[in-house]
Amino acid sequence: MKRSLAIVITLLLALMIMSSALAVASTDTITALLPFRPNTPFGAYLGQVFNLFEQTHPGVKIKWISGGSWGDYIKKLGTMLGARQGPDVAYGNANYLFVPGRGAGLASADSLTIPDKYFTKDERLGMGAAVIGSVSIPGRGIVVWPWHLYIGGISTMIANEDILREAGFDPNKIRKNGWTIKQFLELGSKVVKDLNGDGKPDRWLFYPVNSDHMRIGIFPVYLSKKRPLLEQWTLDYFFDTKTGKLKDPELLHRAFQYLYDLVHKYKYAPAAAVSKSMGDASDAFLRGELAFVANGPDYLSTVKEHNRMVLEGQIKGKVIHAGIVPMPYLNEPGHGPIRPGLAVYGFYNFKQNPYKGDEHTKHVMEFCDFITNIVFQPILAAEGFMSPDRRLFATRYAMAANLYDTNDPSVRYWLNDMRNNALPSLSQYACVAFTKAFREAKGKWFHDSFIPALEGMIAGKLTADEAFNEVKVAAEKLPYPRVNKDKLRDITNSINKLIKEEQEESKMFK
Amino acid sequence: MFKLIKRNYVYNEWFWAYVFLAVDLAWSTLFLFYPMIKGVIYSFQDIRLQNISNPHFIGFKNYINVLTDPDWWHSVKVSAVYTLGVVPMGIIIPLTISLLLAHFRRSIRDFFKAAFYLPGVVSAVIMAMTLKWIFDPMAGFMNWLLSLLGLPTQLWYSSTSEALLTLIIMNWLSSHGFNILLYSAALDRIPKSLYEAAEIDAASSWRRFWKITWPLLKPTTLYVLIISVIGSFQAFGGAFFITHGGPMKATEFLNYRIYVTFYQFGEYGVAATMSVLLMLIVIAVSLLNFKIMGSEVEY
Repeated sequence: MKRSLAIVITLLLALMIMSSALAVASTDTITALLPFRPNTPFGAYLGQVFNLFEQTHPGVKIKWISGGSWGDYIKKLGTMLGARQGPDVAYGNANYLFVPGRGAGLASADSLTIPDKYFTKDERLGMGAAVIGSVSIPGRGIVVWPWHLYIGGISTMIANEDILREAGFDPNKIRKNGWTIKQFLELGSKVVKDLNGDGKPDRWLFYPVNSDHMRIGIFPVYLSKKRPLLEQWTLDYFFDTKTGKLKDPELLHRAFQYLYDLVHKYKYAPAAAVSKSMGDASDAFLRGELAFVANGPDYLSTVKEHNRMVLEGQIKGKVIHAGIVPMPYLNEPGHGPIRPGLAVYGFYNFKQNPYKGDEHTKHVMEFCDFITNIVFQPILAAEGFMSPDRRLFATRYAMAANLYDTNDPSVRYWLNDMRNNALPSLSQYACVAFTKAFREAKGKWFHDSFIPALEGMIAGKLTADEAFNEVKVAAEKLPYPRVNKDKLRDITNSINKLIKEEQEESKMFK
Repeated sequence: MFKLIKRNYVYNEWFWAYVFLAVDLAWSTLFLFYPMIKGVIYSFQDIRLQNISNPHFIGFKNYINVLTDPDWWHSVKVSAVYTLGVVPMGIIIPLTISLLLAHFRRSIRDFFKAAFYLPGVVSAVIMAMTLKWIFDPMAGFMNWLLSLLGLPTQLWYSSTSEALLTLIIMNWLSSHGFNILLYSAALDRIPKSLYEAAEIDAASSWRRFWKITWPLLKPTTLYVLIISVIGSFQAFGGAFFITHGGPMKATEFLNYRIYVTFYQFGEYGVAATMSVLLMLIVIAVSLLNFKIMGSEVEY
């Protein structure tokens, strides 16, 4: 009797294990690494979209891995890729994925092509030049579904408009007409103040930290020079795409001197902040201690959240009226306003090669189609789930600038400007024209020479001349050959073709 | 049948010893030895994010590249200076506190031991953020204190010349709890009869320390020395959370350099090489400590 019972129990157990295994086997899991947090309103919305996908695709489960902050997310993605455990789907912008020196850099791509396989010619034309960010790497199985356009943070500054108005500057006029470095310095003389009477300034133009020293300190001089489109819109600011040599060294020298003067001569930015982080700068901005931070436009959402909490009494502080303003430019012949950069953000499929018939790949493709489907875009906008800048939607069906209602005039200005004028970043194309050895070496150059020299200059350890010389000498030591000429020719041709397409397309919207 | 098993194995201590050791060995193999061996293999390969699907053997090229890289040697210097700054105080401060605590009754001793150990259980991030605020060059507690005393304020971690010293001071202020516990336990183990005999011989307290306490604490000191050296050569948190290796690479520790090489540059082979070299440095320094201190240790 006991033996029979044991046999029955064993058989039942085996049956249970087998049925569980079959159930697991019949469930296809798609891993999606996303920088959005499920516990935010937007995260909750995305969760609902994912649930809808699961309901309409029985047997497919979405495993959502939250990446935390953007920086953590990029590192996590890099680590997963490095460990060959890349997610099926990740969110991002091609710049983050292809730029050497970034966590998820995939700079060794030998050629980049728009995936015709998944987009018809009409669709591609509908997408316009913005599709330049939508690339796949043959043999590497990376395909992107573009989702929306994003104003490049590199060319925007977030201003505390209350401080600007107090100093007699109208942010709307700045947005309309642009402004020069001379005006920026004049603003500094009125803004930097000792407010609590302890003899030390406690309000500054900006913190010379992390990338702010670049965007507010170096770029106004260096990037305001008018250059051919290919040079203007390559992510590599410092090296000439055609020769691989340091671009305009004299101008870069002047840019170093400008930053040095901002910190040490005019004292509009505190040298003591050199080791602070972007987070510190962001906090100081919210405390009303800074007139500017260099950040992406989605930082406006952070300011809005801060204001809401202040108004509801959850935190102490003041409501801040913030908006995007253009970077000031050098008012000299050959220089002009710096145009905004534009990046395409979308969902990248890493793991699989383009669809060859296996079920998992098919599900991943369907999932990406589903979440980027145009049906969801108006819902996202209407529900306010996307920050204002994201309301310029780019889907596989309508990549052109469909300007939805935005509440923020500064954002509307930029979106209009971009719709009419700007082209997306051509960075990844120019980037791959450089040889592999050079791409890797200049990533190190930036970390090991450029940033330390800037920090040394801000901290007062180096003069502008010394810092620039260190950077220049280190740049000269980088290896040759630096440019793959054949690749550059192909890339230039494809860019020119896309520019023509963009021009044709933009006529439709005027 | 069961009886046979019982007779042969159940009461066989060796059998069970191997069973329990096997669990630990499997764990160590999976989570320690395998990654370590994999790391050593990577150090001989050209493996980076861009060619992860096609790594290939390149012999000692990574080692040559790292050892001829001035930035590597800069990081070695930063880590060595940090170690020299941190380790002696990591012995002196806990030993002094433990000797002072030894004079109090047990309940007070336990209270202080717990109090000193408490920072050790606080999250490293919270600890780093607190210390960052204390030493904030613009609005920190230390500068407020200096101003109050009429002394010049400092740039602390924002200065290229003070940043490393600031991280060393932060270590002095925050990480002695574990060593205090070790020294207190070691002091408790020294037989009272030795001190009583010394007292009868009219030995001064200074002499009692050098002739009884110090020699008998040497095994503990050797242990503290080695784990402190290993810990300080592997320092990372301060550079990661507070200084980001700067300013001007003033606090770019070896571990931070490895982190940057791995995550920022995506050069896994080079990062693995640096890790192997760091391991060799730590082993060499530990062996040197054994050589110098070990011969004098009385167990």
